[in-house]
Amino acid sequence: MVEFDKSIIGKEYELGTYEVTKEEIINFSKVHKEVNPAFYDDNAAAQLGYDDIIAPPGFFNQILLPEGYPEIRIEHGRIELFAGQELEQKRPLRPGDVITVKSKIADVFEKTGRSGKLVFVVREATYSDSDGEVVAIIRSTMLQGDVDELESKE
Amino acid sequence: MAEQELCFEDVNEGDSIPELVKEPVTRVQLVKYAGASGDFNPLHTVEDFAKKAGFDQPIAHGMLSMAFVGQFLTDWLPKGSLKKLGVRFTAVTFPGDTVTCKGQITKKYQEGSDNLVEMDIWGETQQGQKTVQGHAVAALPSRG
Repeated sequence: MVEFDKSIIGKEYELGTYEVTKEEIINFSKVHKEVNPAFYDDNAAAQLGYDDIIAPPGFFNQILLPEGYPEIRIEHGRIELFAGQELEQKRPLRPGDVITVKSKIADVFEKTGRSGKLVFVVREATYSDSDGEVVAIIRSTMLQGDVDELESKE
Repeated sequence: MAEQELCFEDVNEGDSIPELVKEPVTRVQLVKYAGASGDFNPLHTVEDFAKKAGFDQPIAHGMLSMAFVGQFLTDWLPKGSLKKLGVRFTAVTFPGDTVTCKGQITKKYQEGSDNLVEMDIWGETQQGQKTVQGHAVAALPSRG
């Protein structure tokens, strides 16, 4: 097992508070070439009975990344990559939402792939609105190692 | 867009989800994505860095694939009905790759007052390489 400070597992960090703006949702939707106009067009959203546009599910990552993740000092291999992610969405984000994100290291584990040892770090982020209601939970898995070609590793 | 919303009665186990073919991934898009997401890992934007890591050219962000499959589902599902989306990134996506998102309904059932459908979903390149694979759960409205 790689060496790291195991006390970090389970420790919760507050990553800060983030206000969702319409401008950012629209920008995000453009970068991803969103196909559903309800994510960027007021009229399309209104026709579906919504007061405003809502954010696509990928937008949750938008909130998380600029704030960074809690640091875990594991150095292994040449690169670090996203291995996977699980999103549990209670409701979509809307412009004006003020979201607090808490994150923790949920798990660290190793696997041996064709290209050697891989270290996986699982982080769990909980998104809550200003009423304290959980809006979403996201578990993200990063892998570190010497990866020449990624293959399914379940 | 006076579209009829997808209802629980409209879907059956084994049904395929309408495919979504994304435009080819471009390096400009990766730079824009880095700016939009704050993920400035040079693996996604700097050629030399990518080469040192063993890739021929910068690779797409995993989160871009996540956004693609999210988009694939939200284009088809009624707004706000997506409850869970879990993915694994199983191969890297390079600029120039055209990703097609596909899926199939694996289970349809009621739980309490919710009408739930479970789906297998994946994205594959023009070579048929699966870059992202996962599952999703949605709660659909009912006509009943």
